[in-house]
Amino acid sequence: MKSNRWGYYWKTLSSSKLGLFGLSILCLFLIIALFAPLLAPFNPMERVGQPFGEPSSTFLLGTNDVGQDILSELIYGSRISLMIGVIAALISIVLGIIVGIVAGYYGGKVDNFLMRVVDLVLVVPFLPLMILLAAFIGPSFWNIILVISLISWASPARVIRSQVLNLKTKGYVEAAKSIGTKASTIMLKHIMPGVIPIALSQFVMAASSAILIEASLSFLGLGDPFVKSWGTILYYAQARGAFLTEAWLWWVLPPGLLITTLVIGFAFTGYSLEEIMNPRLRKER
Amino acid sequence: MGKTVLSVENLSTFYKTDKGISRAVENVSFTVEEGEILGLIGESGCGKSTVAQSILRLIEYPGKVVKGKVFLHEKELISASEADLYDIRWSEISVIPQSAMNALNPVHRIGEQIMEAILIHEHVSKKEALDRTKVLLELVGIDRERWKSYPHEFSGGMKQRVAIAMALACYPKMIISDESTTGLDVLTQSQVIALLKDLQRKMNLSIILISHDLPMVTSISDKIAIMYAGKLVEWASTDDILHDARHPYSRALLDATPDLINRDKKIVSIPGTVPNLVNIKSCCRFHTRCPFAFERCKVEEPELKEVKPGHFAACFLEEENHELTYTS
Amino acid sequence: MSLPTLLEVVNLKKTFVRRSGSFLKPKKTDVYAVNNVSFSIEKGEILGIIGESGCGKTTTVRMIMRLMNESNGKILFNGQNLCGLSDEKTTKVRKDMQMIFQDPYDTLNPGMRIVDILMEPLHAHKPNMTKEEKYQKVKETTEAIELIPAEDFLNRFPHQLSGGQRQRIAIARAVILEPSFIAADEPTSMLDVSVRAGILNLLLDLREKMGLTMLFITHDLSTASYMCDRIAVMYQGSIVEIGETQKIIDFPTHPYTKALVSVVKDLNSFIENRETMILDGEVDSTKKTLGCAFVSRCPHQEAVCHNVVPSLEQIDKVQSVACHCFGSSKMGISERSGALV
Repeated sequence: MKSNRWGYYWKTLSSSKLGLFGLSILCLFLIIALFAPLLAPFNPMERVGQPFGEPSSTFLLGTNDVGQDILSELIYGSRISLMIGVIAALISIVLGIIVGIVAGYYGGKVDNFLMRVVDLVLVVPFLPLMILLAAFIGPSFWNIILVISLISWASPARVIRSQVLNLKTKGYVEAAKSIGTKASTIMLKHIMPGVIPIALSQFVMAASSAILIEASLSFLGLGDPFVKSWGTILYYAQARGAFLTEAWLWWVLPPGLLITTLVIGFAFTGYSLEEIMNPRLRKER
Repeated sequence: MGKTVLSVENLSTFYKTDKGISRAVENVSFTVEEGEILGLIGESGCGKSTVAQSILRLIEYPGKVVKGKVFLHEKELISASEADLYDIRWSEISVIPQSAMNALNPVHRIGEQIMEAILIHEHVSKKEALDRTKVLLELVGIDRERWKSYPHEFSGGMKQRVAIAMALACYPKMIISDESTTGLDVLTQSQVIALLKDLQRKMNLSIILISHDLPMVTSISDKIAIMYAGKLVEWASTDDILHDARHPYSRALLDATPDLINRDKKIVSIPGTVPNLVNIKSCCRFHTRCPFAFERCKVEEPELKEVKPGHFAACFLEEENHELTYTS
Repeated sequence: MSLPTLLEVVNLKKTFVRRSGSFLKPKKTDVYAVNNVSFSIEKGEILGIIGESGCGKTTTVRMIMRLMNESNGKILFNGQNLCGLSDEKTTKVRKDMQMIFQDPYDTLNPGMRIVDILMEPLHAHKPNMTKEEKYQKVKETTEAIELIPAEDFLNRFPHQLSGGQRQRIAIARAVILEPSFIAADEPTSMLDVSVRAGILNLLLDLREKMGLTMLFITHDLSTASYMCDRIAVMYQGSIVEIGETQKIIDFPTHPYTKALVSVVKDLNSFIENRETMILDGEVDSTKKTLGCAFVSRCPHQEAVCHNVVPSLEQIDKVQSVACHCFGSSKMGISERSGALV
C-alpha cells in the first residue's frame, strides 16, 4: 500500500497542470544548479572582461562593475538560492514537525506554551527582526539560513499541530496507548506518518518563502558578501547605480525574473501538493 | 389476500466500476400488498438499499437499472417520465431516510419543511397545509404546537418522528423505511417501531422496512424478504422464515442470532466472506459459504421458486429434494 | 462460587464542566458522565455493562483502562489502586489489562502490516524477547484467533482484511501479552450478524483457554445475555441494576431494566407477542434532578424519587437495584417474570 500511496500522489500531481508546471520549473533549476560548471561560460569569481560591459556575443548579459560575467554569476547563483531555500525550509519543517507533534500530542499546558511561542513568532514583524538579527550575528551563509529558519518554523508547526489533533483521536493511537506503547514510539510510529504528507507541502511553501527572504536580505546588503546569490547580484547592481542606467535590462531584470520564476515554481508545486494531501486526509478520516 | 400495491419484477441494478460491472442487484422480484409490512433483510452491501433506490428511480451514475419493472398500482416506474415520477414520489410512495438529521434542514422550522412538501405536491392553501402539518405531527406523537421548532431543538428520536411525518405529508399509500431506526437507542427504536406499526394500522399503509436487524424486523413484519449479495434468496411470511426457512443463508442468519429465552443456544457464524460482485459469473452466490453446496451451485444460478404457497426460495436443494442436514 | 476479585471499582466519578451563560456572566455547571459507579469483577468472570449511547459506559471503561483520568473514586486492580499511579507503573499494569475497541476500521493503523501491529505490544512489554521469538508468538496468536494459516495474513495491510478479520486482529493484539483482564467496548456493534457470532464465540473461547476476565460493553441485551455471567445496567452515568444475567432478564426489578428487557427484539418476539413496555421521552442529560435520574420517564414515581438519589441496594445474593420503589406495593414483579414463576 505504501508504494501505492506514492503512486497515487504522483498520479494526482501529474494530473494537475499547475503542479506539473511548477515541478518542471523546479527540475529545470535543479539541472542548472547541478551542472553550473558546465553551463556557465566563465568562472563568476574571475574578472573576465571590462567592467560595466554591455551584452555582447561573449558576455551574453554583459559584465558587472568588476568585469565578472553576469550570466555565469546568475547560473552559479541558482546553486546558492536553491541551497539556502532547501536547507532553511528543511530546518524549519523539522522544527515545525517536532513542535507540532509535541504540542498536539501532549496538549494542555505544553500545547498552550508552545502555541503562544508560535503566536509570538508569527506576529513579530519579520523583516525588521531579520535585519536586526542578520546585522547582529553578522552576514554569512549559515547565519542567513539560521535567521530564515528561526522565523519560518512557526506556521508549519501550527498546521502540523492541527493535523496531529485530528490523528490523535484515531482508534489506533488510542489502541497503542492502551497497549502501553511509549509516547515517543506512538508519536514516531503512529502520528508521524500521518503528518508527512502535510509536512511535504509545507516544506515546498517554506522553501519558496526562504528564497524570497534570502533575496531580500542579500539585496539589503545583509547577505554573505563572499557568496554570490541572486540577491547579492541585485545588491551590487543597486549599489553601482544599475537601477538608474539602461544596465537594469541585463543586470537587474534577469536575477529578478529568476527569483520570481523559482518562487513561482515552488509555490505552484506547493499548492497542488496541498490540494492532493488535504482531500486525501479528509478521505482517510 | 389484499390488493397488491407494489410489485417488483426481475429488477437488476448494476454499477460501473474501474474493474468491471458490479452486479449489485440482480433479478429481484417481490410484491407488497395493501397494509402489509415487508421486512427486507440483508447484511451490509447486499443491495437492499439499492433496491429501494431503484424502486424510486434514485439510482445515479455510475449505477443503472438495467432490467426489470416496478409496478405501483399498475403504474410502471422504471419507464415513467421524470415528471410522472415527480408526482408519484411523496404522494404515492415516500422514503424515511436512514439519517433524519440529514433529511431536515437545520435553518428552517420543522413545520415549514413539512408544509413545503405538501405545497409542492398538492394545490392547497397555506392554511390547509399548516393544518395538515399539525395533524401529521400529532399522528407521530409530537405536540402540534411544536411545528415552530427548529430541528436542533429535538432529540434524535423526535427528529426521526418528524422525518416520518414528512414522509407521510401527502398521505402516500406506501413508505419505505431505509434503516431508519439504525443508530437510535433501543428504547427510542422501540418507540419508532411501535409508531410505524400504529400508522400502518391506522392508515392501512404498506411499508417496506429495510434493515440488517433480523430480530427487530421479525417483531413487526408480516412478510420477510432476505437478500444476499445482490440476490433475493428467500421471501416468505415471517412465521415461515422463523420456523421453516428453506435457504441455507436464511437458516445461517437465524443460527447467528442470539436468543434471549433460550440462552443456551450456541450461536454460529457463517464462515467465509461475501463474494465480490464485480463480474461475478453465473452461480449461486452463497455457494462459497454454504455447507450444502454441490456441483450445480457453482455453475448455475438458482431462481426464486415457490416452494409452498406464498413461500419463495432460491436454492437448488429445494428442487433436488435434498434435506438440509449437515453431513460431516 | 466466591472467587477472588480481580477488578474493583469504587465510587468512580467523572464530571465534565459545561459552560453556558453569556460572555459577561459565564456559568459553569458540572455534568456527571459517570456518577458513583461501583462494581467488582471476579477472576474468570464476564461482566457486561449495558446502556444506551451516552449513558457513561464507554467513559467508565476508558477510566478503568487509564485512557482518561477519573474525577473521583478508586479502581483496584489486583488490589492495586490505578488512580494516581505514575505513568511508568501504569505502563506495567497495562501488560495485564488490554482493550478491544469498537471500530475495527479505525483501530488498526492503515500504514502498518498486520505483523507489525501485532508486534507492537511485544515491543512495549517484552524487550528481552528475540525477533524470532516475537515472530513465533505473533504467529501462534494469529492462529489462536482462527486466522489460519497465519502467514497468509501477517504481511497484509489492514485494508486487505474484512471487518471481522480486522476485529480478530484487534483481539489478537489484546491477548498476545496474555493479560488477565480484557475490556471489550462494543466489539461487534459494527459487524454483520453472520460475522458477529464468530467474534463472540472466539471471545468466549479465549476466556476458556486463557482464563480471561472480561468487561463487556454493549447496548444490545441479547448479545450481553449470550456473553455475560453478570450484567450491570447503566442509565445516565449510574448503575441502576446489577446482577446475574439470568436474574436480570427473568426478574428485572428496576423500571428501566424492565423496559429494556421488554423491548428487546429476538426471534421469539414475533411468536410470543410479548407485552412491551414503551417508555415515553428520551434521555435528557441537560435536565438536572435532585433525585433519581430516571424519574422523568418512570411509570412508578413517588415523591421521594424527585428528591433523593436512590442508592444501589442488594435485594438478594446475586442482584442489586437502585430504586426507591422496589418492594413498594405499586410495583410488584414484572408481568413477564410473573408468568415464568
